[in-house]
Parts: sequence; C-alpha cells; structure tokens
Amino acid sequence: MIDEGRMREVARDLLASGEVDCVIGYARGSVWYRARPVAISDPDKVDMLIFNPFCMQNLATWLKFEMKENGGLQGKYGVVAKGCTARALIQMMQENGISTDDVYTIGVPCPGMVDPRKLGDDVLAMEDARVTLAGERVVVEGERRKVFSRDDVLHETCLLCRYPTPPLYDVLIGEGIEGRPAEDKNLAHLESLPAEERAKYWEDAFSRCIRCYACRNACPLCYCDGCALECLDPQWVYRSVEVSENTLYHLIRAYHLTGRCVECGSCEFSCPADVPLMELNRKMARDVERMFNYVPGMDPKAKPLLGAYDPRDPEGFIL
Amino acid sequence: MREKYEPRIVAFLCNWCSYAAADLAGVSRLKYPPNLRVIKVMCSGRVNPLHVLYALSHGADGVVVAGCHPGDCHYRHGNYIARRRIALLRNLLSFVGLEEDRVVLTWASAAEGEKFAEMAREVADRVGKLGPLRHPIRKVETYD
Repeated sequence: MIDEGRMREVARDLLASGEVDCVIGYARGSVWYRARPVAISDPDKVDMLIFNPFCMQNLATWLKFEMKENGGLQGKYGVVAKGCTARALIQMMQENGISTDDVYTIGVPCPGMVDPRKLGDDVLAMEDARVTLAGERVVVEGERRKVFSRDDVLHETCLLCRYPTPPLYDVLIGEGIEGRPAEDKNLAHLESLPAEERAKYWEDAFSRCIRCYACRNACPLCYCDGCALECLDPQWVYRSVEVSENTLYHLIRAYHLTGRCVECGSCEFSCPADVPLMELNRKMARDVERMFNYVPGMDPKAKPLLGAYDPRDPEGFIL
Repeated sequence: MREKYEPRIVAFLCNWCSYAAADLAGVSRLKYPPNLRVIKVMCSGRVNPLHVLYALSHGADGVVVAGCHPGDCHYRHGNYIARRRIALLRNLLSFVGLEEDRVVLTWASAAEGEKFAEMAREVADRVGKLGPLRHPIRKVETYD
C-alpha cells in the first residue's frame, strides 16, 4: 500500500500553505474493516488520514455532497483520489460539473479494495486487525493471522479495474501501478443466455430493489440538480416499489450513466438489496468502448459521448 | 372470442422530414397498417431514451423514432445524436431481455411517402410477430 506518511505530509503542506481550503480523505471507521470519509481543514489534524484496503468509497461523491449542501463548491478542495475517484473528478470537469480550479487531486495508486463481506464472520469478529495487500495475497493480522487469495476477497469491481492509477493528478503518492483486469466472466455469461432467461434474471434482481435511492446517492456522477428519477412534473417513474417501476428506474439510471460511468462500484457497494448494478454499467461501458471507442473519465477536454457524434457511427441497426 | 392482436406502436416523427413523409403517405392515399400512434417532435434528437422506456412501460409494444436522413437534419446534427442514443438504448434493452427490435430508428425524408408506408408495414409486421410485450418493465395493468 502507499506511504501514508507522505500522504499526510502533502495534505499538511497543502492546508498550511493555503493552496486548498479543505482536504477530503479517508479516516479509520468505527471498526477496523471500515474506513470513513473525512474533510479536514486544520493542518494539525491530517494525522487522521489513512489509506488501507477498506477505503472503498469514491470521494468524488463527497465533493458532490459539498456541492449539494452549499449550492456549489466553496473554495478549493484537495481530494485523495484512487483511479476511480480521479476518473469521476475528470468526468465532472468534462461536464462542467466542477471546474479544474476547484480541485487538487492527491493521486494514490490503488491496489484494489477488500470486500469485508468476503472475509467471513470469524475474521470480522476480531477486535482489531491490520490488512495488507501483498501481490496475490491479502494478509489479515490480528489476534490470529489469516491469508486470503486476492481473487477471493477483493470487490469484483476492483478485480476488473483497468485504471488503478489516476489518469491525471496534481501529485501522485508513490508509484503508479498498471491495471491487470480479470476476465469479466459474469458479463460474458449473461450475454450468452437466451433473452427470456436474461429477462428472468433482471426481474429477480429488480424485484429485490427497495427503491432506497442509495445507488443514485452514492454515485459521484449522479449530481444533476433536477434528477429525472425524483422529478414530479412530469413524473417519469413513480416511487412505488413494484417490479415495473423498479425496472424503469434502473434502466433510466443505467442509461444516464452510459458513457459516463467510471466503474467505481459505489452503487453496487451501497446497495442493501444486492442488485447487480455494476453488470448493467459494465455492459454499457463495454458497448460504448466497442462501438464508439470512448472511455469516460480520462480527459477533461473530451466531448461527452452522447452530446457528440461521428458521421461514421455504426448504423447497421437502422431500418 | 378475442380480436386479432394489433400491436400498439408509438412513433416519434420529426417535424421536418418524417412527419412530412407520413403526411405525404396520407395525401398519396398509400395503404399502411394503422398501428402507429404518431407523436410529432421537432427533431429526432429531441427524443429522450426516457420517452422510449416510458412508452414501453406504459403500454406500447414497439417504438419508432424517425428523423431526417444523416446530413439533412434541420438542426444540423440532431439525427446523429439520436443515432448514438438509440443504438445504445437497443443494446441496453437487449441486455435486460427485451427484444431490441421493438425499438426502431429510421430515416424518412419529406419526399419518401412510399418509404414511410413500407416502414409502417414492416414495423407492424415485426412487432406483430413478436406479440404483446411481456417484460418486467411493462406495467401489469396495461396487459391486454
């Protein structure tokens, strides 16, 4: 993992020099297998900052919360950014959601985040533990020592991650790492199913949804002021928890992230009903890449996919 | 006895070309099936995929989006934008198990009354063969 001391030093310098007004980073959560986001504006408090394999949250979302709370960003923010966080920030810049001057990106190369649910109850029962990622292994050291394979305990979205290092940053802590995405077996399997079985699969998934809107709220890129999903006039989708409304809700959500989703996995991570939201997002992201050769969140000056066109776009489907 | 199944198809026609094509088809007294419910929009680029999803959810068995031919858009590139949108929407629908052929994108210029009528026949036939939409997106009360 990265050098936390160096990260704190950078944050302290930024705050002390007045370069940024606030640093958004991670702090230890209520238990050892959780991290929580923290906003620090006092240089003496930077020792709270950590970076361990439980820093799953995308901090660009907390920038969104700041924006929503204050009707815009007040001052300049330093953001501790993993690959996906930085890409979300870049995507926001591209859409003029935030200005390049609003953010100072403290880039951290991310080796992937551990899903606590995959560690098992006996491990989580430990009072305290330290988790390190070493190559293919994940080592948990507490009252007992336990070694896992990386493939078994990382979030699926992290195993499939292609950009662990921020594509753009103001400072990078440590050295960048190359992405080595695993094969996306789930997506390939789903695509190979007959249409009726896919419909059944999604019906099962969507009927579990309790419409808590956590996926929408946790998404760094769902920051529109007038969200179509809660608009009352016209009311595109009712709040009722019912399979057709849920399906409509999820398809609208997935479509609004088409060509924008940076695949951070926040939606799926925050979902209390285990709806495989990332499968929808990944499917659209792969299609976008295949059809339009476009990857979102890489270049703040790129044109938004669905706001642009190329006369040579595929048109084999047109009647 | 039940009547023969007639598909309900919502057609978004652009003001400048496709709507005029439909007009021409009518004025020329061309025969085509009456399954299309026409909604005039100013441009095919105005059709939000949300409109298509909403139509499918609320009782449409198929949706047509028709605009000017590429390069002929009254607003210069609205139809190119629609092309990207509908291409991706069809992929999304297919991925959740909804037959993507129910959503059709087509171009028809103001002079193509015959082409419009042919398209209406083709779409009515295609959606008619697929039958009523049976997919979780469909509201139960809209089932026949």
